[in-house]
Amino acid sequence: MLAMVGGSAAAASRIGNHDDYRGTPLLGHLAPTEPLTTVDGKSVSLTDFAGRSVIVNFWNTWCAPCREEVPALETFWSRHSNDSDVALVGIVRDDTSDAVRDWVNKRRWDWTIALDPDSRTALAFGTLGQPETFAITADRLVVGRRIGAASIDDLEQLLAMARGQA
Amino acid sequence: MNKQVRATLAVLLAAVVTVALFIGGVDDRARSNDERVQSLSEQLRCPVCEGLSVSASPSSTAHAIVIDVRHRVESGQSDAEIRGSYVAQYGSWILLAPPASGLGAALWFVPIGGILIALTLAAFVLWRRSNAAEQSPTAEAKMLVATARQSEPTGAARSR
Repeated sequence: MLAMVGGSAAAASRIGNHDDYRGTPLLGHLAPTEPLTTVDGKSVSLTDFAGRSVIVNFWNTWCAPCREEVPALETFWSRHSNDSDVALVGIVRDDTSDAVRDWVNKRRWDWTIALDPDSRTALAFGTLGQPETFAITADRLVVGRRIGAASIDDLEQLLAMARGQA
Repeated sequence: MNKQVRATLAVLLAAVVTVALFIGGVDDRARSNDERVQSLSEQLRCPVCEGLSVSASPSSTAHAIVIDVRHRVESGQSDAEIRGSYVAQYGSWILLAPPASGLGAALWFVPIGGILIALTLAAFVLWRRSNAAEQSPTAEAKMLVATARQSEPTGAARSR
């Protein structure tokens, strides 16, 4: 009886521990395609980027690690904005559209920035907060995830994964 | 097994079956949307908290989940579908109670199995004891006891 209770408790602690936080059940599955609205008012969905390797970055203007990864995102986009097979999509959760518009205009970001006011897309991706960055293949499979501020190396690695090169 | 033990086991079994049928028979549609949202929010773990349910967490992520759950309930999804979609997005740890399948099933069934085995053992021991108490001595045994008593010296003889 004691052995059974002990075994049960051990199994419970394995389920309770969050070692698998870093993984995502979405790996190898199709990325969510909830419709979103861009910061300049256009409708957008990940289906619009079919045929391209997509880096999806969840962020907002007030989170410190999001600000920390700004140089990496800008460097990454300066390297790949002319690659016809690459898209960078920023999805903003938990922020106001005015703050995002100001931020994007001030920094002259020209990659797609979409708003996720009710966090439905963030939840569909199983995000735990922001920033989080996902690699998505040209046929819309989720193949990589980075939690926390991404470096330029992280972003290049994610792009290689999305391209099927890693 | 004597009648008392059998009756006790039968009552226990009936109680377990009744509770199981009651829990299994509660239909999603028998509860209001508010009750379902509240219940689901208590079953889902807040993904950005330590050991808190979505219902108990003040975080913006938990709040977003409550709104999403309400939207799903109102759009006609069953409780199982809603739990299933959160497991698909986050993994089984998003459920505060383990699922009744895979490894999670062991968490439910091992303790229940242990309790059933313990009950069976207890019933067996009780049965053995009551059986032993009820057993009357055979004629041969009675005769042996009588013979032994006759051959024993009396208390008065021993004192001399």
